[in-house]
Amino acid sequence: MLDQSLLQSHFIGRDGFRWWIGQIPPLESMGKQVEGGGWGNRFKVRIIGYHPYSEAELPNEELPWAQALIPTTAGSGAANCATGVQLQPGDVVFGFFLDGDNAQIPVILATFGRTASVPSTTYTSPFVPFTGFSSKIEKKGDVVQSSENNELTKDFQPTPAAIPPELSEQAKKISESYSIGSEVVLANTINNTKVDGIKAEVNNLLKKIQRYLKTAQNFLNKITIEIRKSVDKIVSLANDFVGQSFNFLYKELEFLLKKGLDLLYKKVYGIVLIATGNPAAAHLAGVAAQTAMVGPVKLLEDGIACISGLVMNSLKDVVSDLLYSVVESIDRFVGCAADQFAGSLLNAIIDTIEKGLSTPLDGVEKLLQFFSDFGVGNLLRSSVDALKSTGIVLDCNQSGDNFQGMINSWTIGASAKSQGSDPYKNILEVINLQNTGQDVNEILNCFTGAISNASVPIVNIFGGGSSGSGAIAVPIFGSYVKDEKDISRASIIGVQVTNPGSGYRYPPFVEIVDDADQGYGAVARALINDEGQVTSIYMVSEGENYTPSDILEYSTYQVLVESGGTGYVDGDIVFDNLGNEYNTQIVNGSIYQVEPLNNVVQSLPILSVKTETGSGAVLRPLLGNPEFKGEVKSVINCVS
Amino acid sequence: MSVAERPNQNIYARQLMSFNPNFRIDSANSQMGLSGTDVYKIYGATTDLQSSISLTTGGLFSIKNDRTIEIIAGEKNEGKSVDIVIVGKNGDVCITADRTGMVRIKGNNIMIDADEDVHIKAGRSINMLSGSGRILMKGNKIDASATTGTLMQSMGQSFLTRVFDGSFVGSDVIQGAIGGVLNTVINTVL
Repeated sequence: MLDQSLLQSHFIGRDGFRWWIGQIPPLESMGKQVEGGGWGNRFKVRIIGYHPYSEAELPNEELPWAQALIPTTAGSGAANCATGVQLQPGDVVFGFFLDGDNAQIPVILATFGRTASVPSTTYTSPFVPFTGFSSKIEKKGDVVQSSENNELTKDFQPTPAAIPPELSEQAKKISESYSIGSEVVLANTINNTKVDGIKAEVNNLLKKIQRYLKTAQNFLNKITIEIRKSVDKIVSLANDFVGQSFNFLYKELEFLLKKGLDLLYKKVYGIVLIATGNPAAAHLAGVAAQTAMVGPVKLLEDGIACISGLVMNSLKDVVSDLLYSVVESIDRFVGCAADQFAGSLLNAIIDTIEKGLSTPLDGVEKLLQFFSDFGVGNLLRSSVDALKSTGIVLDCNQSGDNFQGMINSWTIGASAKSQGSDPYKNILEVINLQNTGQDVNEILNCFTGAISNASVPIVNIFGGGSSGSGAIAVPIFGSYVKDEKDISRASIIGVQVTNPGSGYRYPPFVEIVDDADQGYGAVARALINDEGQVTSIYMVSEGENYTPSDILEYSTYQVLVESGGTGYVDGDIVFDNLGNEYNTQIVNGSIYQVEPLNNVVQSLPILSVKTETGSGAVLRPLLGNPEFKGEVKSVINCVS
Repeated sequence: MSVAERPNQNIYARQLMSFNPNFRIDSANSQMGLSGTDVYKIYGATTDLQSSISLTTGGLFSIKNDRTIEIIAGEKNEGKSVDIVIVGKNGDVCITADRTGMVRIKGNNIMIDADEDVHIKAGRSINMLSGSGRILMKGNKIDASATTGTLMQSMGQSFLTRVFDGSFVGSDVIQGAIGGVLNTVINTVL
């Protein structure tokens, strides 16, 4: 022993290296070190082969301290260069002894990554794997899925995803924000977007309620608060409708009252003339009758602001009742349900205005007596169509171009949202049906229940400035996969333009909508030619979980060179992830053209360039069915 | 019904730095979102709140926070410098206070400068107040349209006036009904 000691240099490395593998015990054994009162990056460590398996023989508190070495890229702390050590209790660490065989000064060099197979239970005894979560770092669960592995697998350390919260349960992922997927109606002073705002508010409310029902403990209270907020919002949105209704009503009344004054004069004049035979007396009587109406008409005028205010105040209860009935009766807010709600609301507003105006109108009854078909309700119902516009009339020197194709609505986390051709069309039908006492639900056959069979997604093309319209396209499906019920699901690997439309000044938005709220993530962009037609649509993201239509064969009919890059030379090869090579034309170091293979594909090809000198090329495959190709009049070969 | 994720995801490209359940930097995560997969995401969370900064393959750069976002700049700038610049290079710049919140803009002076038109619309009222100065409306043409109000009355265009226009009721009677309002307005304008 003494000889051995004398022979040792006590200099690290000269007496050989003593490697070890050990385990970091629970934090409770490390006292002040984990309370911020220690020094260095030190951890207790129980070392295999050196320390017993039993805490009774050697308690965790009496284990040696090991210093953790830090990689050169992490910084020692000097000059503010530092990165925190991330070792956690239960970690199996690897190191060496600074003091060789004395084995009293261990140093931690690295840690073994945990796999999903490593048990993450609470600590039981030394060397048995246990969780790294502790009182210092607790499981979150609600916001980040707990995970204790560090390996190259699909489920490794899941990060909350950019998906709507109502999709979380199905996707088995946590949504990174409760806002994702909700609609926001943007400012617009030209088109009346209040109805869109009302629809969006109810839609967003129902989504929130769905989420609360699944996740929130105190969901009734939260739902009540959300409904109250929505009521306030919808009442605010209704202001515009009430104001415009009054404007419309008073314009009509002006005409009727004016005419009524004339008829009143003639009526009184006639009666008095017959009774007296004196035209002068008859005239004076007619004038007196007209004069007597000054007060009631003034009262009606004075009532405009006050009555509209009273209508707005009484709307809260109306909207609240309507909203509760929607919440109770439908599972999801589809377009037709939105129309029904908006139609019912407008009907209720009209009824409220009618009631509010009944007293002031009684005062001018003598003038309105000549118009037997006059009724505030009917008049306003007939005017709803006129409310599509905000009432701002552009002057002769103002161009309406700025407002055509304007984006009115946005889906958070996704993109611009189309609104359909005429948001008022179905609302008018609802108003008329309700007014005639017919069952709207039965006639419009609007399904608002839970999804049982998903529908095929559709492609909306909108915006693009000026008067662009008419482009139609259909999705192309690929990357097929079966869900847990053996139903075929797919990604959207291309979009086939079936009608190029016309009048587009800029590439329009392409929105891929799944009414069943199942498929998500497909992002596509359109290209137009000089004639303002949509020539092609390429995929930026293929998305997943869409319900495919009939499976057809599609091929890559064109390769769009979005950017030719620089530095390419003859001999560079364009290839895809499916193992295909493409003939390529390179001009001045830039990829000018890539010939499509016209081969049938089942998934979106991802094109790359095998090169030693070039960089920056962006190549997009355009997929389509050859039978549609003829409709695309012009194709852009190179966009840079 | 569960989500059927697409096959052939590129798992290998993902790089992650997860510091604890509260914060991580994630790149090339192949999981699908509404705007494609994440190019990168910087994500932070408390027990019940989330925030993130991310870029998706669909081209959406997004900053989200469940509570307040604060952007402050210019503490050390000089008086006439520019502290914050928000520029939309081609499209619209949209600011929306959703639900019942207000968009509030406050400054020593506020300029709204449009190359073409300025549109101001309110569902209910528009109030314009001037403190010690004036309210100037100047243009090649000024139009006003309303059912009632002092401006309409001063122009002899109130609802009452328009209804009785052409009747046998004298203007003195109409003015009497309008009362002192008309005189007040006329005196104010003149």
